[in-house]
Amino acid sequence: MFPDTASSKTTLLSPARRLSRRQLLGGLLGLSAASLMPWATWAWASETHQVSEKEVANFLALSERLTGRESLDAKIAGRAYRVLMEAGEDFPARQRQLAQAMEQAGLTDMRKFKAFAAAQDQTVVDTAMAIISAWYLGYTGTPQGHSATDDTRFVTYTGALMFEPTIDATVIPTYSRGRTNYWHTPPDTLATD
Amino acid sequence: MATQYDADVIIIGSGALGSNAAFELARKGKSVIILESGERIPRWKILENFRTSSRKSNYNDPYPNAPWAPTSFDENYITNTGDFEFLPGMLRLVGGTTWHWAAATWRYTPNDMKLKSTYGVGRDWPIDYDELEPYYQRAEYALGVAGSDTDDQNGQGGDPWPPRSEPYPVPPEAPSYYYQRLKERIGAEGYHFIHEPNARTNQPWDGRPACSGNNNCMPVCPIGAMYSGDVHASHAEAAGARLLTDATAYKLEKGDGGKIAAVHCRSSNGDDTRLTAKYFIVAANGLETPKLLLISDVANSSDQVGRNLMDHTGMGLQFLADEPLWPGRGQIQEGGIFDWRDGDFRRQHAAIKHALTNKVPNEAVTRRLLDDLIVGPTLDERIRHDAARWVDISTTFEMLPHQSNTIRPSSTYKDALGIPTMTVNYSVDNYVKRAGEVAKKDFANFVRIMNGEVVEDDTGWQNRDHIMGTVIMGDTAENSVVDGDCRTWDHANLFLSTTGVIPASGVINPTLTGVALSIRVADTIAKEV
Ligand SMILES: Cc1cc2nc3c(=O)[nH]c(=O)nc-3n(C[C@H](O)[C@H](O)[C@H](O)COP(=O)(O)OP(=O)(O)OC[C@H]3O[C@@H](n4cnc5c(N)ncnc54)[C@H](O)[C@@H]3O)c2cc1C
Repeated sequence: MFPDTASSKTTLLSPARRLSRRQLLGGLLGLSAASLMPWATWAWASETHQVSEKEVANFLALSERLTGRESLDAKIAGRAYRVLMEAGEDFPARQRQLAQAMEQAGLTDMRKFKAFAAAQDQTVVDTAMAIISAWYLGYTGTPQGHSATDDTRFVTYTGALMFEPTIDATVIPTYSRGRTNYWHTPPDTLATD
Repeated sequence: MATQYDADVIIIGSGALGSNAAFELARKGKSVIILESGERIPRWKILENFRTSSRKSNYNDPYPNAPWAPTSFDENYITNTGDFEFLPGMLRLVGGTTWHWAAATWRYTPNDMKLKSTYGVGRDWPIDYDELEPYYQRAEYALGVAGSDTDDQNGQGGDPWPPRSEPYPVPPEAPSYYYQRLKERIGAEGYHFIHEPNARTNQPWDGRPACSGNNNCMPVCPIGAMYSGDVHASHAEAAGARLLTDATAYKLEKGDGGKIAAVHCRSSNGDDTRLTAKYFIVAANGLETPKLLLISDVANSSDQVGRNLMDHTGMGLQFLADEPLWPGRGQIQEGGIFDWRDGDFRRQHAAIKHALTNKVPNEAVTRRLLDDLIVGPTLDERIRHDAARWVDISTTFEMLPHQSNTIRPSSTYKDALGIPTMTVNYSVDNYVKRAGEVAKKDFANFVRIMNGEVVEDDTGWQNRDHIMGTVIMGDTAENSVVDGDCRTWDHANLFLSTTGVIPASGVINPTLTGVALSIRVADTIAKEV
């Protein structure tokens, strides 16, 4: 679906986003036209209050690549970026390390992630999974079932990507999709599920 | 001069049990004060707390956890000394823990209540099923229980059981497709699937709307279709009871003639109040009730307070079936497999209940895939594939009462009010371990029949949050804390409304029985006061 060629790179970005990214990155793109993520060599904020819109936009672009999505929500990206930084202040550096590793390996098709991961340092893999988890699960950290505290941080609920693949068949809990007893029959898609 | 009292009856705890007793007494014109250590929180706030929680699988998280009214997950609330980490999810707010129960509302059967005389193990109840039946009926109406009038709840496919004097107030909800398919295939090998009677009404009931499948019974029903204790806390107030929040009882004071004279309670700013009444009901749940009795040194001439602690300690099974079943449509529980509910085997091993969980499984599914580094388009495909096939079975076991399974006030830790927290010593006996082996054979069968891929079939023992035995009911003052009326043997005006009185646990969730007993306590007191 995403052939690993130069032309496929553009399919990862919607036209609107391409424009804004071009505006954002300005002439820098030209400096390193072949680069997937030119910002991978930039300086980053070291504390959450220093985080710039640029950094969030770059995190968003990396997140879109890691999740195979074309248009993730920028507000959620801002929250995810900040909580990942709260969880570990070296996150920007680790993110840069990940972006560089992906660039070197030419990783654009996330179906090839496992093979990529096998050749990387554990920290690179952990960083990638931390970002992907934040988007899919809607939180960072590891929840403790039986404790008043843990290291989790909230990112999003209804925006969690884990609900997208099933949104026509089941609810995001607390929301309702039908009337009493709608559940007696299976989803219409059953035959092809 | 006649003695002046602050109330006819003071009830400690505004959970489902205390509030039902309070309502019954208040509507009979008795003056009632309810003391509740927590606050009153509107449903919408709890719902928003849940939606913005980063630990949604932690069912205490959306609820207030104040230093002066901590939930059970607060650090040092329970210190365990036994080989099992006993930690149920108890709450502190008006309405109590049923805010996040799942509202399974089974009745015990006649044999459940005569375990010792029928099977030679454990203890008998001092009262029998016929005595309790009318109160079950009233409790089911209070809670708006939906149930099947035709199921043999013993799981043998026989006539309707246990006996009922009237039909269930609400008919059963429709079974989900997931439930139907599992029943068709696993049932074909002789396993009996029984609808779970539940207080998640599917018709408007007592101001509550019908369930519309929001699939969040635990930790909060967003629309209040599922019953919670705040319903009757409000009913009690409307009938004239006074509900005092931020009022934690820390001492029962003994008076003349073996009676309880007063209760002392403390607020979050440290103010102490002494309140008197003709009768007292402690309804502070199966852990806080024995703790209060022990720190007050009351009702314990038998030395049974805080002993015989029973949960329905359980285990779990998760697997992927070979066909899409689509769990997560409807209520989070629906019923289960009841073949091991009753029979001669109970001489050898515990009764077993296999309950189907029907929760939207996306988080569990996704975490498992992420752990396996599955990402990108494959992750999206697999989430849909696996979520459609996810089967989750929650198994529970009957427990026997043991002197050594105890809850005691902590000698190390205190809460912000200076009240000791708890120490629990709990282990699982061979009666349960033998049943565990039987359950594992069932697990293997379920997986085989559904041609499944096992996700987890060896969870170890798990908490089930059903607290029984800690202020045990019996037929003599030497072997028990309360008599068959839930009256303490030692103090004629002190009653206990808690599942902690239950002397034989059976395998079914205990709260409906607790509510039935509470209504009965109210009837008894109303005749005397
Ligand atoms: C996740 C979960 C799921 C469950 N599912 C089911 C189910 O499906 N079916 C079932 O039958 N049971 C279920 N249970 C068990 C059920 O919740 C309890 O049996 C029930 O809440 C007991 O009611 P209660 O009124 O005795 O105690 P609680 O509901 O705990 O209420 C006690 C109240 O007393 C207050 N209190 C405590 N100490 C003091 C004090 N010293 N002074 C003043 N107030 C005090 C507390 O703040 C609380 O509000 C579940 C429990 C959990 C945790």
